[in-house]
Amino acid sequence: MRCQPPTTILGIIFILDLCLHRRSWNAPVPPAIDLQNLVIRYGKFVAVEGLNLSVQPGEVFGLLGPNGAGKTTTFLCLTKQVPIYAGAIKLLGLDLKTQFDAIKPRFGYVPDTENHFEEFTAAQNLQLFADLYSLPHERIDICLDAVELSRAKQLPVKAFSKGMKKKLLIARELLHEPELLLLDEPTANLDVHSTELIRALILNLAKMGTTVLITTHNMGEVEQVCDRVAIINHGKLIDLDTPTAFKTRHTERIVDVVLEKGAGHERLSVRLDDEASRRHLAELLTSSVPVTLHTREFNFYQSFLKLTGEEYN
Amino acid sequence: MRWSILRTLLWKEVLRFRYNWGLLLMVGAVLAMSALVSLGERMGQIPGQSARTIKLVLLQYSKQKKEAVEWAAALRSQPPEWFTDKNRVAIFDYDDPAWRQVKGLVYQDYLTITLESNSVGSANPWHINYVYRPPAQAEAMQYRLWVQQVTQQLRGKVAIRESLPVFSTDDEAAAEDRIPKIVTALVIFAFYLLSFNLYITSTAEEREKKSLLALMLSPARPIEVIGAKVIFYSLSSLIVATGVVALFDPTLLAKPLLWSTILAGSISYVSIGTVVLCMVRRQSTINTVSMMYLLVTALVMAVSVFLVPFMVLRFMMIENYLFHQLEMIIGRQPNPAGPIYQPVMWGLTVLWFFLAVFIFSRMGMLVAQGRR
Repeated sequence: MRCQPPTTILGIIFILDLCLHRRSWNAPVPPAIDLQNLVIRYGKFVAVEGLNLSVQPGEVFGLLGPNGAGKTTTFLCLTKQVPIYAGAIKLLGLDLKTQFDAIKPRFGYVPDTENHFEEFTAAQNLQLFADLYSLPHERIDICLDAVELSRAKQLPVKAFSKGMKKKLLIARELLHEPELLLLDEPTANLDVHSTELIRALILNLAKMGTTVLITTHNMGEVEQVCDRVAIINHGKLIDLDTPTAFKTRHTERIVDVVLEKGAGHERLSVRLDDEASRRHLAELLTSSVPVTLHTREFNFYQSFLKLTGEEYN
Repeated sequence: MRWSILRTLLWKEVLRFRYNWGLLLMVGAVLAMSALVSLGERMGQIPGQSARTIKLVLLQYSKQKKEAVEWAAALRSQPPEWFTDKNRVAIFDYDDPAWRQVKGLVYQDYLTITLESNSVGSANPWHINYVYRPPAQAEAMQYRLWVQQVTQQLRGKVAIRESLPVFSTDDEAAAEDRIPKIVTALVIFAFYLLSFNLYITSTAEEREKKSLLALMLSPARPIEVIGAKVIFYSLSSLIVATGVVALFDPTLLAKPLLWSTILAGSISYVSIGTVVLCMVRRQSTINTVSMMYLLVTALVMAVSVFLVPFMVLRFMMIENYLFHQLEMIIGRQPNPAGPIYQPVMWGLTVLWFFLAVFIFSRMGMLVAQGRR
């Protein structure tokens, strides 16, 4: 005679299991990057002062700022190269200080300088990391294909151009399909084609759910790939918004006009915000012959300079 | 430490080693030096190597005395077993024209034996005067035994009075066997080259190029990244040091004390290297430190013989014990200091090892960071 567990016990187990699952379904997804009141110091010098940032999973987040703003220091801190003075960092819901070993296999970091083993071939470089991540070697070809380096697979890296080295770096960090990718100026030194390739790659990664934190000085890149942008200066957060919101908030309504004036030309910039200026422009255009007429559109670069106080006056 | 990670990192080190032709050349040069020393020692070409020092024996006697003539003839007719034409050893009589040319000169490879015989039945003992230079001191003993044996066969048990040259301590020091010293120096250089110099300079280079950081940010832990390097470079120095000894005399490999000393040398150098690596950040400084280490060690070892403060310093250095122990073992000399020197050597090795582990464990990821 077969012994069967009582129906009541099975029922209780089922309900408990359901409750446990419901709890996990309802649990809020932690931010991919969570900086809480982060302070980083080099001796007495405060490089980052009370930085609060939260990057959601699957988001492409741009970190902008002039040189010395604290971007690289923040990146160094995220990769545990610089100790946290105060505050806390959580990556993928895990504490950076205490759970870094658990974070490492889940994130990728593309530094601003190429750090390959130059005497090795491209394939050997990737094989080393594929083995460290216990990945099948098929991933090497897939990633080299993704950055269009398949033909250079057996070449020593020291023979690569700077752009090729950068692409190999990105291929290396794509090997293990990280949940979080930190990119420090990923398109620097790349030609136009490779730049577009990398941008498309970033957008594709974001579509697949990878969180990307990117620093760049290329404002076009920010507008093209970033979901949100944070501007920092002197280690402090200046502004944080979507590129579209930035555009709305900082769009300028100015017309630059060059008019014929006797033998020469007269240059004028007229704001279109107030009625009097608009009427003045209309009068100018009817009384003089315009040589050029240019309407200023939203300029991320100008907005950035204004916000960081670095604008050239 | 996880084996799969360690295996991958060791493969990386082997690959780097393979591509480093300069390093392979250096290792080859150290082994070739050992082979040359071994070859030279077998050919007896190195001054100071007592086993093959004497190449010419000059026998002086008076042809006026019948007993002396008989005595010299007996010696000539019963040469010692090592006494061959191949070694260009010959006996010249006192009146030989060739002897006249070299009379009065005592070169490093000459031994002169002067026979002063008495008439048979005389109460005065037979007198033999030996003249040789300090390097031939050990070998002269064999000739003395040979002369005594032949004399006893000829005359029975007669009293023999011997006159021997007296040497100062400096002379004896100059004459001491240099071959074990040379081989010991090569073994210690192998430790320095691989376990110290190449270990720290290659790691500093990876740190400067930030490839060490890439490894540290992979699933490999800092202890695994550095651990693989430590294992690779200490094993390499162990293999090269063993190779140097084996090329000189393979039978030495049967001595457990040799293995103990080589192991201590390899571990201590790699530990000192790790401490340097944790303390010094810049690659250029590390290169200077590495060079200075070699120079300072050599200086302390040399100067400590006559300057007491350096003697204190010498006794704190692992090289003092390594050098002494290896020299005794390689030279097959009695090693009365062994029971003291071996534990002290291991004590220093363990001290350096734990100091390296302590400093490294406090630094962790920061080891991968170059200049601050």
